[in-house]
Amino acid sequence: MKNAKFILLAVLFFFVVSGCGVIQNTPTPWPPQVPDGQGGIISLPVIQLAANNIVVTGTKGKFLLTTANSLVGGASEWPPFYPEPVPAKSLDVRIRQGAMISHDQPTDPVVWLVTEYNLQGVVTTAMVLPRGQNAYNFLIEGERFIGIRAYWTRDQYVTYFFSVKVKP
Amino acid sequence: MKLETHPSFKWFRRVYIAITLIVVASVSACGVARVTSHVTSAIPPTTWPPQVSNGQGKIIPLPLIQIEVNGVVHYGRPGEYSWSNSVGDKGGGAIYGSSTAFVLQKDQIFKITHNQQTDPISWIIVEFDDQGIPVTAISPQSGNAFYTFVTAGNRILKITAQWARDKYVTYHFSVQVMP
Repeated sequence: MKNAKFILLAVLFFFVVSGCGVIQNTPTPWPPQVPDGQGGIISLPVIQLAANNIVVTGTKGKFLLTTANSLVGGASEWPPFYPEPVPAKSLDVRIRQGAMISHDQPTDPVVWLVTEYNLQGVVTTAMVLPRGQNAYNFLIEGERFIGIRAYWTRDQYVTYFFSVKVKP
Repeated sequence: MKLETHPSFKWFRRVYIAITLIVVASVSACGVARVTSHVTSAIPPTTWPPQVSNGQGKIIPLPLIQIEVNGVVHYGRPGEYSWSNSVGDKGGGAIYGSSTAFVLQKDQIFKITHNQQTDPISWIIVEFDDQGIPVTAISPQSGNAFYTFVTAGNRILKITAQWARDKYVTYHFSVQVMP
């Protein structure tokens, strides 16, 4: 009886450890998946930033999505405008060189709201880029973060944060 | 037995008087509210400045951002904030009060002020159109900020004052911009 309990415990331990390993090795789904408010999952639109033939994807920030059924998909309300965690992969750009912003949706967003931060997390530049203007010029040297929010409507927007090294 | 001395009549009379008093008081209150509603843009919400939890069981006042036009101060609706004071108390989150739209003229330059001893390092001012889409964003650095609307219509101005990465407050102002 004592042996049976021991074996049972060992088997349970094995399954728990294996399960943890499987979870750890499971890649993060891409594009990011978010609850649709009805128990389902929908894919979040993706924003990318490119320069010198290098394309990077950012860290997902605040978003709001309304589905065809007028249901709010979900919103990550915090942090409101600073990336947590900070994007790991950085993009090298030259000062005053336009970095190209792109997305994966069939229709262009009506505007891009771009917010640039220094390494201390303080906003240094904020601007609205109208539809069709997909290039953003960095005017300050050094390591920067930028948050790019794409608006399709007031209830449909996504934000991604990027890490950038601006060189002379 | 006379009607006036009947116990049921006395009871009904008391109820009647009570209901009359309640109705009169309610109508008066509504009248006062209607009269004062014309100047509510200059009257802050009941709890002012907004009180927030510091995350350690204490309540602290949230810094204020105001719009000043010709000596009149307009208050906004508090939104997202993160705040820490000198002794390390921290608060963060979002509160949503109410505000009444106020009228400004197109091309009228107005001042955006705060009530703190030190100026913010940065402002983030985002103007939204009546569809809720941002049309302009600027980030004046330090001091009091100035802004002007160049298009008439209903606008929302979302103003963030940032003292540090995790020290900022955001207020939303509803503005009717006249041509």
